[in-house]
Amino acid sequence: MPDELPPYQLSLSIPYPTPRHAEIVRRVLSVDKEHSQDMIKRRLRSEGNVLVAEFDAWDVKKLRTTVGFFTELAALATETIVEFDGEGERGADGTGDVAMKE
Amino acid sequence: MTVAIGFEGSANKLGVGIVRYTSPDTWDILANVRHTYITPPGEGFLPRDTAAHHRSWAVKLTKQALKEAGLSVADVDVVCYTKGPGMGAPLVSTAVVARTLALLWNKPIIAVNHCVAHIEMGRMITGARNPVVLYVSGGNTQVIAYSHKRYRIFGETIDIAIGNCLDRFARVINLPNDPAPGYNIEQYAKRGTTLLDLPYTVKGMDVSFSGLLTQIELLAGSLADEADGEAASSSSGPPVAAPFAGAQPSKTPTPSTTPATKTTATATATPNPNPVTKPNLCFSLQETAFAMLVETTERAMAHVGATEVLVVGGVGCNQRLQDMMGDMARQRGGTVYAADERFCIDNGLMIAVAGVLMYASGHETALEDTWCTQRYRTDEVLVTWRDD
Repeated sequence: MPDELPPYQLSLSIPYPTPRHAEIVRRVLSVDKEHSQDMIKRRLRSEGNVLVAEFDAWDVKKLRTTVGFFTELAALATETIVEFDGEGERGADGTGDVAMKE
Repeated sequence: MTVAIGFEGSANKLGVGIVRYTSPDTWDILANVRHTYITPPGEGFLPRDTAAHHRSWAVKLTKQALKEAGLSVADVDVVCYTKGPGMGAPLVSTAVVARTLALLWNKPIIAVNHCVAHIEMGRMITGARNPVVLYVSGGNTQVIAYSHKRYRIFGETIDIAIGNCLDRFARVINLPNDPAPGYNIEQYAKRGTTLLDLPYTVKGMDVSFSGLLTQIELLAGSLADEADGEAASSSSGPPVAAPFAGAQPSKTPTPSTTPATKTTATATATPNPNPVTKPNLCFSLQETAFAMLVETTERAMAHVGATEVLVVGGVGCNQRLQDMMGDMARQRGGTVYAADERFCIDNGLMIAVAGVLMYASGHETALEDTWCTQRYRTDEVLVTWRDD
């Protein structure tokens, strides 16, 4: 239990092209609170164009699943930004319009 | 005029829909695309894998919806997403896309109750004004009536949802999940000729399906395996009535100490030595479970004095359920309203429809409140967009 120092810590730095993008992803991912907060704590901040996520965990399995899901969601937010930011401008030269597969 | 995009991902369907709303009577459906996570026969969908499915399809589907609508994100006025109820990880994965789009383009975002969205979609498509609503799906079974700014739950399942009962039975007899387990049960049921005795459980306004499922699972244990299973599932042609009747070698019902033996005995009138066939099981399951739903819906109609009944949710596109409900409604001088699978089964458009109604009546969800919740009762939502 969180009386003493957490036995497991992990820090992730995810760089984005601009501070705005890093801040958007931070705000998107900050909404969902971690379950079982006595087992894991998460801190999110943006430093310039870098999104920093720090995890304190008291259970290594919990750390693995939490970080796994977090990175999947970060990748999804990033993919959404890549596809839809400035969509209007890119649409003009056709590069924003990728054909559907499947 | 307001253009809303809706994201739905509370279960195994990921949907993106776009609607242009002018007034409660004037709508344009601009897009409604969906991709379903289909598991192999005998397997259900698990939250983790379902969430991964949604994440891999979300951007593709969003692009497809915008393309069909001929719009870019800039043309969208409001972003709507399913807050709940549903499975946690799939809900969150879908919400992440909605939040990102809203922040990227500085659009308002609306958190939508999935059940309320089904109701508003049904009302919009069918034109039903103030119906009693039967909401039947894989996760929900509720009889709902509107009163004083709430969709109030008159009756509901006290254990599993009707769709869950159907899905799980489809798994037991190894029916495919493509396009949907309930659809395949419906096709088998058309060939059923004998009603097997199954528990009929209505408690006041509530229904229960777990005992029914247990009993029919026991019955399925005495299925004549080879002929019933393989011949039936491989014949993809039009349903023919007779191939099973009389063709069965007489089989002893297996679990001789269970009630199964007793119930199979009720079908003595048929010439078939073993009435426990997949078609008869599917037929009996539908007849029994749907009768329970029709009974409670009828009681709700009598209670509130309604003449309209609206059937929504994935199970709502079952033709047999619609017919049974229609018979009941006609006897009361009423009408049944139902939509086809595009609008009945979970879809993004319904989230856009409910969301735009909320938005037009002054709702907006702060970004920090755009979390998801697995439990979110239909009657928790204040229906600000209805004045009746």
